[in-house]
Amino acid sequence: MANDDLNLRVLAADDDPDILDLISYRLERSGCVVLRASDGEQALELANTQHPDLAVLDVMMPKIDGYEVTRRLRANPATAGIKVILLTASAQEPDVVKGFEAGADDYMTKPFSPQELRLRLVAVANRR
Amino acid sequence: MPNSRRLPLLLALLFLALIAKALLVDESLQAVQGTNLAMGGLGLLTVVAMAAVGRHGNQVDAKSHAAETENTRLREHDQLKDRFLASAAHDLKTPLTAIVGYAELLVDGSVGDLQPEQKQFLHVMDRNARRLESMLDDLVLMARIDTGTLRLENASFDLADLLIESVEKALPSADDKGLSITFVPPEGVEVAADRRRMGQAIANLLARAITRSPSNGQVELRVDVTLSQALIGITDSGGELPPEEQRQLFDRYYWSARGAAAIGLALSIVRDIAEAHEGAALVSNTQGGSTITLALPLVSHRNQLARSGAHHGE
Repeated sequence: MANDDLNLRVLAADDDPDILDLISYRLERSGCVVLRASDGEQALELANTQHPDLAVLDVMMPKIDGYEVTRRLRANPATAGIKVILLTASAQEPDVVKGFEAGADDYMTKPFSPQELRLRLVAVANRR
Repeated sequence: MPNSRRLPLLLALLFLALIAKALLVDESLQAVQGTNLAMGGLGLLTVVAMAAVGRHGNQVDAKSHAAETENTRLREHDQLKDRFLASAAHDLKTPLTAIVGYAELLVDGSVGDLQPEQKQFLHVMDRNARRLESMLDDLVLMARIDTGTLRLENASFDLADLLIESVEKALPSADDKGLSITFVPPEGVEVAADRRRMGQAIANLLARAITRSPSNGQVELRVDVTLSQALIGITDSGGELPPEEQRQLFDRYYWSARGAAAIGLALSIVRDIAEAHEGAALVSNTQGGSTITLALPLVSHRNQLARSGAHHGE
């Protein structure tokens, strides 16, 4: 598969290092700059200081979960414009509703395909 | 033996069941399925014992009150077990994501071209990781049903789309066995259901039909429409089912109880999903095989009027 050049700054947050590597590897290969966080606190700090275009956030993270990170990103004018894709282990309705209520733009259910993540990332990034 | 003499025995039995069950709750951290099976059995034993105790009336009021308290405690343990099951399945999906995701990176050539055989082996790994995923989905669904927290996301959709998707997903494992799947997509059949759950049920049925059919056999998926229902029938070519098996096919743990190396949830889940949709799951024998039919309430059918005089499958 050809590499492409998405030219996006993406914050990736997951407490599982293998998943974080997987996301980073796939997105860097598509020309993204990936900012890596292994918990919600780090994710918020990176969002505030590094100004990513997009955030891919695991829902179940230590310290601050993905929903709360999304809420705080939305509440702060400096980070409110960052698009958010949540990674969840369940497509059960309450989880999905909770994600959208927190302000997420999209969600993906684990196990997800790295290729699909890239496609959704493009779709969300192009959304106005 | 008169009832009065049987009472101490029953109470002893109840007590033993409670202790065993309490112990099993701790053990469930190590053996989810085993515990579940055993607890199901013990739960039943408890209920039987309770019913027997109840019959003695006032004489044992105090004791039955104590037993009731115990029963409440048991119910709480049951809920704990179900919550545990749901979060265990949740946690297991993370390593599964890594397996499926890294396999995909290898297959798509991100890290260099692969030999055909290397690709093929990766596909086998991927297919099995998907199987694991669907078993986890079954476990989570079962826990949701047991705790009464299953919420259906019902919407109208075209049945053919879902069935085509399901057949496509099942094709690789059918191919590996040299099986063909016969399927003519129905036209304009709309059902109102939780699409994902329905997909789960159909995947379970296709997987069963593929497992049951011999190499180079046949699996057939067909849809018949009546005035009020869509009948989705999945037929294997693995021989007819004896009456006893037909009767118990949808019972949870039926396969485990017969000593099979399977969790045996797949078909009970199918029935649970069908019933949650106010439909039904039925089994019948067809020539040289068995058919499981999912009956679902119909929203609309394009040719409903034209067909209403001539429906099949009844």
